[in-house]
Amino acid sequence: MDAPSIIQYLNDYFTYVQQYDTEIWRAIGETFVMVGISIAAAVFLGLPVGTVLFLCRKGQLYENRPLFSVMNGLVNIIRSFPFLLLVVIMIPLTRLIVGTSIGTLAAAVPLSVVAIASYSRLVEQSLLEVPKEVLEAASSMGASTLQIIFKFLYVEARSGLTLGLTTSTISFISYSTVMGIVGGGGVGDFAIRYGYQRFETEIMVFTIIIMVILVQSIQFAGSLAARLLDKRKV
Amino acid sequence: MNKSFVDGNEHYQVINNVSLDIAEGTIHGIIGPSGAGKSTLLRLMNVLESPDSGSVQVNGLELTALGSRALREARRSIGMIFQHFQLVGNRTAYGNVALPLELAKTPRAIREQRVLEVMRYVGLEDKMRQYPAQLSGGQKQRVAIARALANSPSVLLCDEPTSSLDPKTTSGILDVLRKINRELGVTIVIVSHEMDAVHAICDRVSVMEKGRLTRTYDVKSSSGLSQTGLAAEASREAEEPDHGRA
Repeated sequence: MDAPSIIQYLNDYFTYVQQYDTEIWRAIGETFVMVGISIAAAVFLGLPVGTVLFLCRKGQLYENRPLFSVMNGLVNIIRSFPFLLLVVIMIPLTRLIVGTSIGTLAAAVPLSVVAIASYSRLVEQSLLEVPKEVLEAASSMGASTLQIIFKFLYVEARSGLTLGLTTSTISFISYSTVMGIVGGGGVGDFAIRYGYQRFETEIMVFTIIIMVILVQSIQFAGSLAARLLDKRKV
Repeated sequence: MNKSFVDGNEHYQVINNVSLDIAEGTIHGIIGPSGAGKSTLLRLMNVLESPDSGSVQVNGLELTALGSRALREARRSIGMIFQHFQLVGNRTAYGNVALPLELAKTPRAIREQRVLEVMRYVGLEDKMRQYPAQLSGGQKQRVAIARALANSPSVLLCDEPTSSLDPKTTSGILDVLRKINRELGVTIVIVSHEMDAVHAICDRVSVMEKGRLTRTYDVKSSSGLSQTGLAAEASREAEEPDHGRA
């Protein structure tokens, strides 16, 4: 194929894809809403849960075996659930929270639950990498619990926390692709309905390319941020 | 004072009936072989470890009787430095020294002034913007000392402060500690297995063995006899260098 015909092909391709312009943008928007809410849930609820998990562990600052066992078990159960079953089982709770069990917002509820569980585990692991001695120094300076968390733990663990959130975000995107089952929409749902079920392979390929670009950019940004934030080694 | 740790079914009496008085404004050394309980004894002084029985008094305040909030307040007047410095790696030297002031909610303007003051005192005013990873061991320990001084403590606890430093850097750090004691009147307690370092700056030294204080003596008046005994301890120490906690 010579150069002009490649350009001609691409031109035809984009003209073809363009007829779904509105649908594609709407799908991207839905994905961003679902993933955005999950990220918010991960940061505002998963981070505290992970911190409590860390603090309650054996040998840590607030060792508390019963609390640790309960939270640890809960996190494991949520993470081991087949995701689609979790979505179905959570329907009553979803209805309670957003008033309906169908649509993008409804889809964000089970996604957020998984987000909290999976990010809290990554938070716990990042915090475990902070040297215990630094926390001892913090106590010797008269730091309160909140001060130890915000001025020592999160500061030392910040690059690990960032990398964890990056990994989580990418898995939230992946989870969000099956949310068509409760009418959540999103890029994955679009690819299945238009690309797969209507045999429009061009559309399927196009959406997959979008997803690849999206995931690559997120990973690149996350890794870069984590590297810039880490001052612990020269 | 007594302290023991339980590890599985093993029961270790780390501190066995220790009673120690340290005079205000002096430099007191605690020496002994690895596992003697030196570091635990030091950590009992600011109640990082709490005793099973007995009490800790600093400046007439009984630390072991305080609630957690009052204890945190009290710890602000007890600085502490460590063998491995224990700086926050993601904060600059400035940020590390400012930490105790931030914890005490000191206003920013006063904080900046105070950080500059103590950094100058330890001779590192040109390293404020460096991260710990960019500093040498001696410089890191100076930052740690500046951090411990930021809240103007009356007591400075030093856990093997020179044990991970080379001899030349060691004498520099000891000079700083001596200066702090002379000029600021800070009471200093040094735990170390390095005989020379301890003898170079301490007024009094206590020897610890297997959780007990075996004797306490004045460095200046110590006789040749006890020196020989100590030399023997020192050489035993040299055979098994103490890298972790005592």
